[in-house]
Amino acid sequence: MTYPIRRRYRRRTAILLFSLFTLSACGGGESGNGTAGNGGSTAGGPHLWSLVTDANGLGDQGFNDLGKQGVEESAESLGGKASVIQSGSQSQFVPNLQQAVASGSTTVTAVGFALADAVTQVAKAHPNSRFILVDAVAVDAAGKSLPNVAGIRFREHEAAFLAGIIAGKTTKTNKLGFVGGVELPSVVRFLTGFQAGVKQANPSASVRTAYLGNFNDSAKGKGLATAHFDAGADIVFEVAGGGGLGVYDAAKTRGPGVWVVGTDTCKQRLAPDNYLTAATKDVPGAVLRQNQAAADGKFTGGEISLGLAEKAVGVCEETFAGLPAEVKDLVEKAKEAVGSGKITVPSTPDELSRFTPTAP
Amino acid sequence: MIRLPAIKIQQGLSSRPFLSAGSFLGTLALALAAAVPLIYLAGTDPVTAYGALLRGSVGDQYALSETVVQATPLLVGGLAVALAFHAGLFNIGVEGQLVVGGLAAAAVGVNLDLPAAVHLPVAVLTGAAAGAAWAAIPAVLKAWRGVHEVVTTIMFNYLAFGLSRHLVAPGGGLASATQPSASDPVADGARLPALTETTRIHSGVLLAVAAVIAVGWFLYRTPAGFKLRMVGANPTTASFHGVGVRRVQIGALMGSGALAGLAGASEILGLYGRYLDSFSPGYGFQAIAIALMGMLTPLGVLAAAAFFGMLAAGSVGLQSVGISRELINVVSGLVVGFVAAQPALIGAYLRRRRKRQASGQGEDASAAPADVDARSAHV
Repeated sequence: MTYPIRRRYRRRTAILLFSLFTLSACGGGESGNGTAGNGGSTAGGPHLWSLVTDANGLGDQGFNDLGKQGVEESAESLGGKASVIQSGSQSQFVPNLQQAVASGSTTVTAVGFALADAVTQVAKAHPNSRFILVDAVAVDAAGKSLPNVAGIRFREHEAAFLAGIIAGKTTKTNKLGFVGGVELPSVVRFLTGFQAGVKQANPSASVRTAYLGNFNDSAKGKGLATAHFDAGADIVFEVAGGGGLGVYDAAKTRGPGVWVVGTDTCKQRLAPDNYLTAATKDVPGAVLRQNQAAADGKFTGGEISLGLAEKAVGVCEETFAGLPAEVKDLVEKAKEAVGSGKITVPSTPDELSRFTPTAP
Repeated sequence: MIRLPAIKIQQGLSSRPFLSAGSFLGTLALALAAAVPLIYLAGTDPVTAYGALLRGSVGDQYALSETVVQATPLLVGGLAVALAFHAGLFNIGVEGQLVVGGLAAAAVGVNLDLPAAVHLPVAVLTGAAAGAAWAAIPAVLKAWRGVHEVVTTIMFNYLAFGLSRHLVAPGGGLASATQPSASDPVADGARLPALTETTRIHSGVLLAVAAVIAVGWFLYRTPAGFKLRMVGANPTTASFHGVGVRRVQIGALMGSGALAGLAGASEILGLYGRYLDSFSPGYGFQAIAIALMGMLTPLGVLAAAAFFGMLAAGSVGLQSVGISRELINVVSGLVVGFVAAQPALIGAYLRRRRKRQASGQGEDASAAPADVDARSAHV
């Protein structure tokens, strides 16, 4: 396993060349140091609305993209600049949040419950910085929420309730399917709200549930949706992020007659002929709302719960043209009843089992 | 058994510090140079990009500390891969063993009520033991039934991911009531203490450095390490010389698993303080590239892990000057590509030099001997 290398000087020349190469790259880097000064204080200056993504990063057609939309809308309507720092992994959350704070952000928005610990850690170290945490609440060791973190929680079940009513009224087979990403509390809220809506609109219909185990396996999403259709379901509700793309694919393959109910935003273009509606969640609006408060000097921390009453969740109404007037009417009534507190939509399986439909 | 010629040549190199350091730096330089056109395509210039990368990774104390934090799991994972490689085993299951190690450490940290002095060691050792246990079945299957470890360890990765997801799903044994896809925080006594106030460097870093020394000492200074390398070089010869090949293989794969488990435990007990389902972005897979780039020597793995740690830490700096963090993936992808191409490149280099040597000595000793030499470099 030895090489008959005799001319040592050649080897040394090679090493020397390689080292020079690397060093010159380093040297070039140092000269760049002076030119691009970004950090420092913009406090008091124009606003900087920062966003730190979770490990999925931008382009997820979901949470992170919506958060980006939120900071961009903030920059547009409140002035200043929007900045997005993407995280590649769990271990980058803290340094990315630190960077956002160090660059003098007016507020730092973090999307996803996965960032809860990291936001808590950084927010404690920087009590004068303001944070917006979507889908989680930052609490200290004693369980008290931090005053400089606005933790936004959506009442997804209220949106899904309306979608469930539409689905319950639309189904012809009285069989519905559900494809979830991971069995997380927010996904479960979507499911239970949907089940309650179906129960409300069509007590004889049933919902088959299935989970992908992740939020990106669209091939498996297609497989699960196809299995639902094969079992007689004609509507599938997807709460599976990127994995949900497979659900639209499965519906398109089946052609007209089967429907998909989406999540977060109207994504009609994914399957125009099969798009029933979506249970929406206005992440950009919620971010903008908190940033507006910060701009006005009225920022408050703690848990902020947003639902139908705040018009922060709802259903995709772009597809309403194709719905019978009776269904639209029912949705409007339910919206009012939930908004006014007349109907409390269940958010856990336990609450669902005790839920009895009442006429809205 | 599938023989991997690429690894042979790497092992040959490890005994030649100058050539190995040269090819290490050469691989890096080639990858960084190959990324330059892509950087221009992305609308910026290499000076800005690499400058930001350096500033974000070694520019100040905090940046440097982040490089260390990011490199730690890669280093221990890389050692795990390297240890198995020395015994001729390709452990692709480091990722799964790392996950199981983290899970076990968290289970001990959350559920046991022990005095602080023993809680931490018990949690760390349980993590390592769980990693070893996760490697045990593939090891036994390999040693006794000849089932290829590449297949079994990959399969065990999926089992580990499933186990992790199951345990932290609602109703799972480790699930936290307040934080989705995570366990409850581990007891303070089970945390690997932080080393400084302002950075995230934790004492898992010390464990990693200890692991470098321990693996180096074991491989090159103990009879057991010699036997292990002998089995890796040629199991038949090793067997003729009275080495229990099966025992060595089982020990090597389980030792590799223990290191992987340690890497997971150190992240959970040091960095996060609770088990998080997605805590590893694929450390165990990056570790394979790191082990190969480090030519399977502990110091080489240390250097390679430091480089990948710089890439991970530098992504913040890159983004602060408006460059997409995808550039990091491009550079690390290129490094992996050049590492894979290294044997061929070195082979070509040696062939060329042989040819020149031959033509310098005389016309008669030209093509044929050069060819033979080039082939021997691959064996």
